Amino acid sequence: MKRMQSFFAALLVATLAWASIDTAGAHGGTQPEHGGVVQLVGDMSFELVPAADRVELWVEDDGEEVNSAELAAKLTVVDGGTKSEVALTPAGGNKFEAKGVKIGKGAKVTALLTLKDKQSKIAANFTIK
Amino acid sequence: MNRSRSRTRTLARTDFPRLFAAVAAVACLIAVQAAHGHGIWFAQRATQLALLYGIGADDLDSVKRQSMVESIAGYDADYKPIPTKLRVAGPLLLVDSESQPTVVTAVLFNGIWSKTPEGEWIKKGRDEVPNATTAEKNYKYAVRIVGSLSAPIPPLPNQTLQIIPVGQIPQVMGQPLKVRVLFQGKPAAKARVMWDWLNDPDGKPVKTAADGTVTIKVRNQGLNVITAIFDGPSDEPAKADKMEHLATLSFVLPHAPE
Repeated sequence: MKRMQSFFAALLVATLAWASIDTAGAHGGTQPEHGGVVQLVGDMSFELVPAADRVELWVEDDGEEVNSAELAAKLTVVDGGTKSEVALTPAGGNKFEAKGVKIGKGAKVTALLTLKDKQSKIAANFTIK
Repeated sequence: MNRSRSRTRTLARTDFPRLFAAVAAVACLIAVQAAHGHGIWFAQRATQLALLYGIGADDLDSVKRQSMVESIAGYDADYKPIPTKLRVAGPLLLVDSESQPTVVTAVLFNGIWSKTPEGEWIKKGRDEVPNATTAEKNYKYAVRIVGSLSAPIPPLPNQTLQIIPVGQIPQVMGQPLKVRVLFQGKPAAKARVMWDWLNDPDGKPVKTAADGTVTIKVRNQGLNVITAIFDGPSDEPAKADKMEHLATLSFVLPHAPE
């Protein structure tokens, strides 16, 4: 009986250890750092911040800030049946932005990031609430 | 010691013909499978969408088959075309779209194959293999759902055989999913549908009803590749007795948050 208890105790410890390793392996943060909405796509974390007169996109790769100057990004916005594209420009660090743009509530936004090789792309989908 | 070694040698000599026969049988099996048992589908590789060719866990050399790809297309949420092409990246064929597509499709012509009386598949038509027991022309089709669907998928250009989900795709594995198989845009009865081309390639197919529908379970909380196979009439009777159409529908169920 004692042996069984020891076995299950060991199993519990091993499971908890494994669970903590698994959690540690998660990619990027899910909490917004700039007041926006975060979407995780594989290793990449996209935070979209729609403001009154601009829109920002902050990107991390596996928890590390990317260099926006080395990448390209654009948004495709579908708002009330109208589709438009918004070019984003690097704005220092891991930030992209477009000024003079307002995205309304209920709009569906796809952020498309083109990686350093200028060919590979990663997309993240948002619905503005 | 010596006796043991001697026995081993004798055993090896005796078994050599059997071993040879077994190898030949396996090679024959591989040849049969290679001839008509492959499909194309889309899957994510290193965050990019790739067009793959093969069966089960065997995704084979798709780059060398690029010339056989007759069409590649991407569509937005309204099913309007988005400029889309394939590009070679190492051993992969990656999908390159100008903007994020909702659906991506491809067609690959896999040639005409004939089966000899000995059971071997040869990539030639009946006109060159007159004693063939069967000769078939092979087309492969693939549809991938990339983004969320705002409207049912219509019959898409070039998808002679196409699997369409009927209603919403469940987001949890094990739930039932009704699909309709279309041949030339119309319901295909008795199409053979397999629920998991990658993890259960030898599974028993289920046949579609007269309205082209069949209900299966969603197999994976991850990538699902559903397959339909349908034999249609030959458009080159001198070379092929029939056309085998193999279509895949692939989509992903999301995993739990990390």
